[in-house]
Amino acid sequence: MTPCPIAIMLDGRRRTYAPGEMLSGEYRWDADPGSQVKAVEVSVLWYTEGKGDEDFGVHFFDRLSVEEGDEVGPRQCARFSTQLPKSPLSYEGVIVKIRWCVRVRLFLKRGKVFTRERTFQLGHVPPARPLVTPAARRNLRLKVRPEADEFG
Amino acid sequence: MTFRRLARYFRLYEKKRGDRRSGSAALGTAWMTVFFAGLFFVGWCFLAVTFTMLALPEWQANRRFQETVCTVEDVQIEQGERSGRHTYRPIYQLRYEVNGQQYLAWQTYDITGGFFLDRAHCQALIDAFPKGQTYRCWYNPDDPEVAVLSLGLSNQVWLLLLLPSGLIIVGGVGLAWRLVNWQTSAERRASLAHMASSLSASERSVAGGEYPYVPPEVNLTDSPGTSLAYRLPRTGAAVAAAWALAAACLVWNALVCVFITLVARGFLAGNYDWTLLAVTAAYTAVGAWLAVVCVRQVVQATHLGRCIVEISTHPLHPGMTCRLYVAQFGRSKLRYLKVLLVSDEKATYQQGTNTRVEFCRVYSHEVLSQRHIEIGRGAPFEALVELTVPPTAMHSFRSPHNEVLWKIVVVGRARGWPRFERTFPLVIYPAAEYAT
Repeated sequence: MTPCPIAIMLDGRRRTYAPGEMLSGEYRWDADPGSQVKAVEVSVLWYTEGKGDEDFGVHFFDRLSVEEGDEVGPRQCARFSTQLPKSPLSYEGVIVKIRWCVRVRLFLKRGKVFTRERTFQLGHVPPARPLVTPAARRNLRLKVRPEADEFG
Repeated sequence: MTFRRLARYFRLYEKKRGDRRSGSAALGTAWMTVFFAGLFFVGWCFLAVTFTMLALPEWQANRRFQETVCTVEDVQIEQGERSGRHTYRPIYQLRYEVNGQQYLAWQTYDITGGFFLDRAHCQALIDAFPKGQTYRCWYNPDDPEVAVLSLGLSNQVWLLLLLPSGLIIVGGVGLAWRLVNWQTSAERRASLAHMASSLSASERSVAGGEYPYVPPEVNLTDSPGTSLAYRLPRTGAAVAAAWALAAACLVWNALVCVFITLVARGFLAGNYDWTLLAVTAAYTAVGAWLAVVCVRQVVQATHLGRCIVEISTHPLHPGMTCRLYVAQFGRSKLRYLKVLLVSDEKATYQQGTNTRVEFCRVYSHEVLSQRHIEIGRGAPFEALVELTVPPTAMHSFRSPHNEVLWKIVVVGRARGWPRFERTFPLVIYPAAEYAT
């Protein structure tokens, strides 16, 4: 398996940002010298994880493409910077999770695509925990009766 | 030989969870491209065959065939077979003259010479042209031995031409979409969609604005309160559930009435159908239960009266404190009444062809709790309380399949009645420190 030739570095090696703050960094790719790069895309986006189907929103997007006249070599580096939005904040919920990341995609002429992500946190919302309601607690008590234990 | 107990049995049938791919995305895209290309190709093939075999001969006959007069010498029904079923078509022995030469040959009704599945349909065309009568007919000038009794384009041919157009449209659009998006990332598609401003007005208000993906608070602040600034609207879920129950009750009991009528008619006529009677009895029992539940819900809604929740400020931010006014109308004795500030996570996902919605409560705080309340006529229970949003709260969030909801929930129980719950949505914005 070919190792991913992309590296993403956030300025100051930060992992947490406040809403409205400037996010900047550098991404570089080091493809096989014989391969021809078709395009490179960098995006700053959020996506959901959890029980629901995945949603995502692109906050920042930039594309370097040979077709559009950009000089894209097999080994190169580029910078990006964007002001982060006020929402949605990163969230570690029980069935809904929101994650922010910088994603770089490298498209080679032969159709191969490499992708690398660097996640970061937007805001400081602590993780949520499922709430045990009195009804759920009653059900739980019923479920752990000794006779209900399959190993008993 | 002993078998180990399996920790989990294999499922023979399981619906696919969500639209996540478990295999190669590139292979999946390639297969979808082949599939749509196949549909497109089959559509065109079908169109070509239909056109050349049915539409083209009719069109040519309309343009080139010459009119003359013929005598029907004999008529017959020709029998064929298609997919194991008998098919029929009328054939006529026509006598006609072309350029001084007499022709006598068996001809079909029209140029397509199609067979009918229904013999009666065929017989109608036989009866329309009795033997020995003279009619107009049209012959092919290049081959005068071919003549028909009818010209024009039949509706069936045009319907058959419409059929492949569905395949061509679906296949063509699917293929074009795949080719346009070939090697196009989801981020680029989203970015292009955003630039094209193709989002609807409601989506723009959620996705754009100062706080993207925080639901708009327009309908929460458009109703002024009498005690505090804004009166919160009640979510329609409970009302919708009551209407749905009433509709179900009506439909079910209408069905029960039909069954009862059938049983009564049978008994009056002396036909004692005991199975139908048993089924009707079971249906009647369910109908009666539904009616009781429905009436109970309606009486509960009217007996308990309306509930009002007003708030001093909106929108809210984490850590913010505001005042909340709660009023419960209706003459009743309540065992308890509680006002809660809650946060729920809502996830929507596809499982096979079903859309499932799941909720998970992640925060609940009792703002008010009171026991043994007596509400008199014209003297509602009223309370003014302070509400503090937790400083570390997650803001309200809405995306197509995931949501973080905040709401005020009023729960209570009147004597002799089941527990009731009324929900009033709130919007909580990100922390005020981020607002500037």
